[in-house]
Amino acid sequence: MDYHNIMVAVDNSDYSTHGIDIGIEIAQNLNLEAGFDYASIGKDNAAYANTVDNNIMLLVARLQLEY
Amino acid sequence: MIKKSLVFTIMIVFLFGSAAVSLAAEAMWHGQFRINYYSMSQDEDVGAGVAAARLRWRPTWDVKVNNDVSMHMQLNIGHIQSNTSNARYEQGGDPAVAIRHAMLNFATPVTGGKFAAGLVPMSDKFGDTLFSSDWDFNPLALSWMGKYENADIRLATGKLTETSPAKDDDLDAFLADIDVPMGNGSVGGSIYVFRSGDGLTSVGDVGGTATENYIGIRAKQDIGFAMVNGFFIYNQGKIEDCSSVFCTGAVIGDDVDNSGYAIKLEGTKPVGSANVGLMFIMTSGDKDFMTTDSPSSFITPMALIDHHGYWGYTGKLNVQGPTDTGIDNPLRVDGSVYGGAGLGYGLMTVQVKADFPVTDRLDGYAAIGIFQHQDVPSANDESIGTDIYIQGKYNIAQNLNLEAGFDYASIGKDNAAYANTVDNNIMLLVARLQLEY
Repeated sequence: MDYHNIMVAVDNSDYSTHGIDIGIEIAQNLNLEAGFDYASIGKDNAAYANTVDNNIMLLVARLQLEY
Repeated sequence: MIKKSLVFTIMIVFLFGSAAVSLAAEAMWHGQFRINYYSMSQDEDVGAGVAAARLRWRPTWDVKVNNDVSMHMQLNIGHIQSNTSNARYEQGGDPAVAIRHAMLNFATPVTGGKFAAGLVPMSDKFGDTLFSSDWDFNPLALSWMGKYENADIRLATGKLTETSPAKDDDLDAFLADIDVPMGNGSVGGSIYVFRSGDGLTSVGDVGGTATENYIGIRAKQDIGFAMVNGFFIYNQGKIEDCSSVFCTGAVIGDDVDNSGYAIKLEGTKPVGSANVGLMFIMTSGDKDFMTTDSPSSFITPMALIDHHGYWGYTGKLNVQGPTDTGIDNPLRVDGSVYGGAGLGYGLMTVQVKADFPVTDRLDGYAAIGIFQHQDVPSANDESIGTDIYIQGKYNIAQNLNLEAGFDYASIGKDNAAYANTVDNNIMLLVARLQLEY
């Protein structure tokens, strides 16, 4: 098992993100990656233009063979 | 200078070539190549006769990446409609080249067994009566097949449709099978669940959340004078806020349940150089299907996705390889055909077949079946018809066969599935040249 890449929190007045991503090597060249991300996006920022505070939770998974 | 460049080029080719060989260790290119021909005549009050010839090719590529991982891909080319154009289309007007299978097979040291992930071909364990990989049931799926003690197990989940990512509207399947040896055969059981959060199916939006559940048992046994097999399946489903795609009358907008059962008994036996088979299948039906809130109807998953399967013996009311072409519109075991006509009225069929060698290179096949619904509205007739099919298969060369067949189907008027208002006598000639390599 290969455990990698814990995303550290980034915080400023408008954004903070917290995430964790785990990669498991199932077999040679075949990996299963699974991740969770929490993003708190402040209202009235220029990039996303959400007019209320937005809390995003994201679950992702990817099974990938590189050959 | 030229010499140095040549040496450098050779080294690069050698290095990259070696790497490629070490990763994709074993590859196999195989598949099916076939040309179909058919000619069908029927009562002119029902429809015109048809005839066509088309090409289909299924190139298949299997790669063993290492001892634990392999890949499988199959393309589906055809049936090609535009024969003199390089921009070729199939008979439905879609591009002729499509991807049919695309999957990874892999083993993990923790679980044992084999996983398959991707567009995975999967069939039910009830003789292709519910869903069939031969009929393109290849959902985006993750499956695991392995052994526990002496039991063969399959666990799988598949996404049949990926519709709006912002809604709970996909059509998903959840499958569990177990089979164990017993006596001179085996027994097994399965649980299948099909669900769409928004009732989206291939026959239309049937309403709100739609769920069809199946639990079944099966057995096969060599009893000395014959091989026998059979199953019993119970089906229960619910469609919330039923739409006019399925429902009529006062129940449109209501939550509608259905529950039904399917039974199969089959025996096969060698007789001289021939092999004969006798099969009985029945599914429950209800004339009030989708006009009441709880009909006693058995519904197949393949009716929801408008597929079929190779579950019977005959050529027109069932389907065989050479008749699986532009004139195919067989019955499902729930009594329905393409588009869903006849669904919910059940089916009873008895069929007999014999396959036999004629010469070293020629095999014969003959089958007859009778078909009828179980319970139909008063405007319809329960009888559907009789189907007789004969076929020869001539081995031209290794892996190359020419099959030719004749089918006669007598389909009675006012049946619920085909809805012909006069008796229809169908005569069908088919031929298929097929290389399997």
